[in-house]
Amino acid sequence: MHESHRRRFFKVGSLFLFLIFQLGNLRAQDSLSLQVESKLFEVSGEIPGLSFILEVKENEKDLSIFSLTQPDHNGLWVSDTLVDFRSAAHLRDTIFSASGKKAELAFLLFDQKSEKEAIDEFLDNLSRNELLPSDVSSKSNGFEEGELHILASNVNFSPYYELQTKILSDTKMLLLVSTLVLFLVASIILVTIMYVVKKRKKKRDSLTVKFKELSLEPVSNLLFEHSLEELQSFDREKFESFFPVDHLKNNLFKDVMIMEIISLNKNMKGEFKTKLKTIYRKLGLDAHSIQKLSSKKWDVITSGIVEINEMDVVEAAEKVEKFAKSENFYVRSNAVATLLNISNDPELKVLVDQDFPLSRWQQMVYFRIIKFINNSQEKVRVDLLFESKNESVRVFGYKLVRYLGLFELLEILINKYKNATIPEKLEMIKCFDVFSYQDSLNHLHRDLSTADKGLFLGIIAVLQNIGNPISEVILLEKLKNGLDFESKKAVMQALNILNPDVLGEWTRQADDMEAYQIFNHLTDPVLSHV
Amino acid sequence: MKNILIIEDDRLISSLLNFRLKKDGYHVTTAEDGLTGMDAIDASEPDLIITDVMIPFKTGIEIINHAKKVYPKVPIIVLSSLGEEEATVMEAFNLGVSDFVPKPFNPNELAVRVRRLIQ
Repeated sequence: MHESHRRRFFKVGSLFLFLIFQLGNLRAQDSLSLQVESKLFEVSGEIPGLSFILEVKENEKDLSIFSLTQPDHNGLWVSDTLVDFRSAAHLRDTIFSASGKKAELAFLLFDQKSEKEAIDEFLDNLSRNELLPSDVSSKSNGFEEGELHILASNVNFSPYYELQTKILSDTKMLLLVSTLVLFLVASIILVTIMYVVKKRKKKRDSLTVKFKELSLEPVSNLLFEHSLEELQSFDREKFESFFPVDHLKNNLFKDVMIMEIISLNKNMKGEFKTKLKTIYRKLGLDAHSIQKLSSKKWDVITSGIVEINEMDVVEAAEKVEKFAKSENFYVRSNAVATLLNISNDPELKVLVDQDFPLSRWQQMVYFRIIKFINNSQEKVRVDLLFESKNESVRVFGYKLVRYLGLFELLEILINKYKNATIPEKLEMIKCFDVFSYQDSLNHLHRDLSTADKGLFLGIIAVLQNIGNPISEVILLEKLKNGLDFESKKAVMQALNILNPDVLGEWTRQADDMEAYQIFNHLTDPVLSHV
Repeated sequence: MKNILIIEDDRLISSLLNFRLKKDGYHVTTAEDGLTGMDAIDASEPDLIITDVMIPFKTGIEIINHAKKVYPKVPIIVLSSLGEEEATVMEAFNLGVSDFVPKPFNPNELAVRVRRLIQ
């Protein structure tokens, strides 16, 4: 933090804390008993139940001249009960001036000796409930001449540190002050953290831009001034000589270099791709990517996995494998995609062993990799996906049959159809449809009795394309047994394509207005396309 | 010295092409978006323009249109990702671009095309 900022911060903070404690002082002084005593001077005679006695401890002198008595003969002289505070105060002063003895004033509340605090509270209650005489409030603000002197002599001296103790013993005030201080400290910490993080990010961004500029010329030089053979023959020191001294020890510089190389790798083809991979490896950036896998931050691990994938760091496959079952979606998805890409495993073991369901996005990513492997390398064993314990992996396998045109696997699908789940069957029947696989018709006919409407409609859609005369009979039977509107429309549509005459005959005989309307819709040259 | 204008928002590609074409002895000017690209067309009197289809502020088609108005005979090479719409590429050809180079590309191959068009 800048020196002038720090000084300003402390000034403002001190002022704030000073104000808080000043408020506490003011409130504490309000609660002094000075006003109570002044009230007693004015109205003690008019307050029901309040009276006073004076007590003097004296063993030698006779104080009966002050109308004091010694009821227990133990040296304690006591006055009569006095209802007027002014008389009591006067008697106290008289005793003091005549005998030098200080009489203690005791309060009686309904003839019971009470503490001063109790009297304060009693008076406060009376005042709050407006039971004090109406002229007291007006009188209490102004004293007659001389009364202040009397008051001053009667109010006990309270040192300032006692007031401070009183503030601290006020729980609510203490709580309020603590909350404010805590809030202030928390805000300062938060602002400081934000400031530091922002400053670090700004520094990182500016360094990234600087490193990008610094890396551009050496990379261009290596790519265009040297052949692939030359690059492969260079050792690490030779490569490092192209870059600014010591920069390759800086992790951020390494990250920037990897980013640039990956970006170029995506936009270039041919020999340049191999050159870029050579630069990446010769500079030891592959080790930096592998090192990221040891991080505890998932985003760092993910970026490491992506780099390994993009630059085909095959030897890192074993280390990536442990992330293939990670609970983090991004880590897991990238790890599986990387392993599919670099492990050269046509049996797709990493996919077969997946425990988590595959999302549509993951399926799309994996499909692109599998398609690439299938076209350029060994034929992938998609059939092994059918054996996975994970339903979504099996479904993905059936999709691959369709997308990769693996019609030779249809027979396996037929064998698996009977015991397959509904989502699997839905995917299988799409394969049967795409390949017009007539051998599946028996299964499809049998499953027309399914309770699952989605599967039923799916089968009808397939039968519409590959159905045979038996399909027509079964569909007609379904119509006769009654169906809901959506199913009826689908069945009639399928029948209309398979055998329009049969449908027309049934519609005429059915005496079903809904069926008649659907039929008209299907046979209308314009509406049939709506 | 022949003057080549590169309009490409990816600084890395633009700098790399700059380096490659300078090596062949051309004078290269670069612009990172459509607006500066159009200004550069007016100011630099290029002998050949290389432009990306997808650039900020203006489309590649607008750039080609403008270039063809100002310098009808200057050859234009369009750089584009394969995923971009076929219609856009067709439109670029209809406007009279000389060549189309899909990304990913080989910079040496592009340099050969540049040499052929400039001659």
